Amino acid sequence: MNKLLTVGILCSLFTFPLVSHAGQAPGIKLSDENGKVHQLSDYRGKTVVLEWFNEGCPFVRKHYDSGSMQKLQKQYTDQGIVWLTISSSAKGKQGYFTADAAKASREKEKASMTAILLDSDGKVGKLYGAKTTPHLFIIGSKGEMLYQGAIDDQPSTETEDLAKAKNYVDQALQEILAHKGVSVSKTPPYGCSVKY
Amino acid sequence: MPLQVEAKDPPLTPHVQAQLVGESRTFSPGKPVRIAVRLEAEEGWHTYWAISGDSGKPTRLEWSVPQGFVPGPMLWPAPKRIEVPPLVNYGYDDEAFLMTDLETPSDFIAESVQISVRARWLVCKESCLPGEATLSLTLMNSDGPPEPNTIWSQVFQKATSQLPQSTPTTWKAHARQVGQDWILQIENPSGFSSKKETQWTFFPLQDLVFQNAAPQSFHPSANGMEIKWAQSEYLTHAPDTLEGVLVERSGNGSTEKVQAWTVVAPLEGKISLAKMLFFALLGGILLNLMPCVFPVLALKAVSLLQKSGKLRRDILQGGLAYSAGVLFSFWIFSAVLIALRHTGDQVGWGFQLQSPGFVGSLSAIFFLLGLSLLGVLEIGSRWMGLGQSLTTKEGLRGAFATGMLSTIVATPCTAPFMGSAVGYALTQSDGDLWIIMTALAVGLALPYLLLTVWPPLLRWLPKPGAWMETLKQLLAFPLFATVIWLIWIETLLAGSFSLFYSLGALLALGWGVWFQHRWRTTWAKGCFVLLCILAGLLIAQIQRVDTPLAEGLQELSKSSVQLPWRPYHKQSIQKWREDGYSVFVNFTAAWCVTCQVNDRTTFRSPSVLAAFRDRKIIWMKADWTLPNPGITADLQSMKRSGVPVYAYYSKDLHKEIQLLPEILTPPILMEALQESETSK
Repeated sequence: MNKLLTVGILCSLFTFPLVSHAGQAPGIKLSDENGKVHQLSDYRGKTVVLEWFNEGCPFVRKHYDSGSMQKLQKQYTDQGIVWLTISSSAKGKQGYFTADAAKASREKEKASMTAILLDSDGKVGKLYGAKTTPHLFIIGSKGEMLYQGAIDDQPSTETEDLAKAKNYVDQALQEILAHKGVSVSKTPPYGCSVKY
Repeated sequence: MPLQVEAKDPPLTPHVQAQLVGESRTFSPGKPVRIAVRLEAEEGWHTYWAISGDSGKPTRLEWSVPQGFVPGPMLWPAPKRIEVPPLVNYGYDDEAFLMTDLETPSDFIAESVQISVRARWLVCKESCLPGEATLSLTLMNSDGPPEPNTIWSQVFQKATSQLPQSTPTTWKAHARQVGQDWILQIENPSGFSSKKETQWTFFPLQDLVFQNAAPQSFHPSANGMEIKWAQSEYLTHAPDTLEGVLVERSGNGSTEKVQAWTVVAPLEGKISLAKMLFFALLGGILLNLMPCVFPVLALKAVSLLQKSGKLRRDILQGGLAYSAGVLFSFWIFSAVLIALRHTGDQVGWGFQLQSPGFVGSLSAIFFLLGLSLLGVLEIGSRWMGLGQSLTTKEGLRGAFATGMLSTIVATPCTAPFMGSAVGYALTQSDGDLWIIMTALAVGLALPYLLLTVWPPLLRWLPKPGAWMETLKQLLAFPLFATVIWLIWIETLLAGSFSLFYSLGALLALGWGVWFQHRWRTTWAKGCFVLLCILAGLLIAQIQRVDTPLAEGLQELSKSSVQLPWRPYHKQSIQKWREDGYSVFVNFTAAWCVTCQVNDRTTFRSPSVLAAFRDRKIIWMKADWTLPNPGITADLQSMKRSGVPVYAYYSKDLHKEIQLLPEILTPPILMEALQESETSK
């Protein structure tokens, strides 16, 4: 009995600092490249990845020209994760998307995101504090923010850096799918400024 | 000698013209020669400095030189602050002249040498383009004095004058942390120019220390300068020094004068570690008096009285085992804290009470403890090391477990000293955090350890007798009161439906206790264990829910109707201050008893309400009942990790943030406000 209680105490000591103290992610209501409206609340119960995107930004190009971003999108959307790529570029600026341009871009990149959301007034981008492209956010099934920051730890435009990069988003998604806590939950984002 | 050292046209790269040039056309073997990569960006485009700021990428150079030649470090002239709202970058908007001193071998005999460099940069306007060029330069070998390169010598001179110099020895720089800002103070006996046309800028040499996009404020004066700049949101712990380049610009165009200094400012105002250890120790000792810990320890002390006939050595062993238990649990806690901190997570003392499961388990532990004090739960009292021989191994293990128990039951009671000690610890390096937590643990263990080390102290305690049993039973009631409080918190976190689970768990525990008390047989104990497991399962059902919680919180705020609290919004504080209002921020949580007491005794007092109205003070309430990384970060930047914290921002913009005492009465609050208005 002594042992049982001791084990109980040890367990509670171990668990109490591991409480998730993530904040809630702000709401989203945006239409996608097919005119369909997406709300974050539609995806309650699912893990959602938000990826800020500007097809002309060289930091984004690194991840698309090498195919690594598309691979990540495919791998995780196949496992039921919702991947929303968002363009917050204002009209007339680099990376601005009309619905048709977004459709064409998806085809050109052979990308597998769930949808490309159009945020040309920058409302959602500013709400989330999206600073750079790429800038990634992972939202848990209860709407809690699980990760925000860079895609990986190599702030560069060169594809050869991908080999030595530690991909934070890949790591976090693996941990989430394995029902583990996200070990790295916030990193400084890198890339081009979002063209609000 | 007719020379064509820059024979080749610069390679064509979009928006940037890149060249490799030398300060002289010749070099003397053994003497260094200064060379530079020049990147001329088209109008409106810019390349980046050594620290690029919020986005972008510093220009990189890779040299290929013959053996014996050694390129020195890159010399970056003073950059400019390039604002791309909401970001700020550091770079060069016209010409980047990135110099290097090239060491040459003294035994070089060939007629000339070819130096080449692969330059890689990012050039941005609205959009960005990576660029790359391999540039080369031929320098002639000459014994005489170097032949100046007339085309570039002026540019070299100008760029060299804009290199950051080391600060003169008469200057003294130091930095301190105030609220969420860094304050950098540079003492300079000859003074800094405070003329309007002089433009001051500070460029960080450290990433993730300053908030690049935040405005910098400069107060140059006759004997120095004060720079105020916000901290980076990604700051994990305070560095030992703040490093950057201070740039003075005056005039413009051809008359522009630029001077730059590398400033290294040791961070002061850090409370010394020794002082902090003292407070940690004191905080640990005070924890012994907290209503959640005191009953456990009082019983341990009383049990010592019964053992006073025992061998001194045995008593001492028990004391040491207890201390080891306390240390062990604190070390586990520290290890987890450190691990969490390395993942960039926001943590603070007391946050464990944000988890309804933890609160539920805690209420069950307190309930069992209370029952054991009433004498109906035998196992519990044995486990606490009471009523059994201290000499047995069992006794030592019991003492160790009591140590761990004391730590766990202490968690809801944050002594004021302890809050600031842990808050300080969280901003320190891992090693310091470990030492501070150890001091806390020693403080918690110390009173009991002293009793066992020096049994004559026991004479100060009253003589043993029947009163001990009465006291033991009496002490059960503070524990039951704690159970009530914990369950109330749990309903705030998990909604009123969680009452079904938590009270059900207590019922199961009570029933199990009855079995083992009524029939002291093995099967009765089995029933007890089964019912304990049932209780655990019930508690595991408790989950945080959103809606009832929000309702619960709303009810809470309704109960404080007369108070004009506004929700905490950090950005608006400055705005209010600029409009001539002072701002008082109340960092609080429903589970924080001190906060609730202050709320009822002080913030509802008519005199306080009137004073706040008269002084045009805006009330803000930052509610930390639920996890809120923003508030956690703000607390940490004030060196606090728990609530309550009362922060006062004076309408006088020159005044720094004031932190008020944690325990408030109307007179204390009024006095503190008065003081902060009159102090400088």
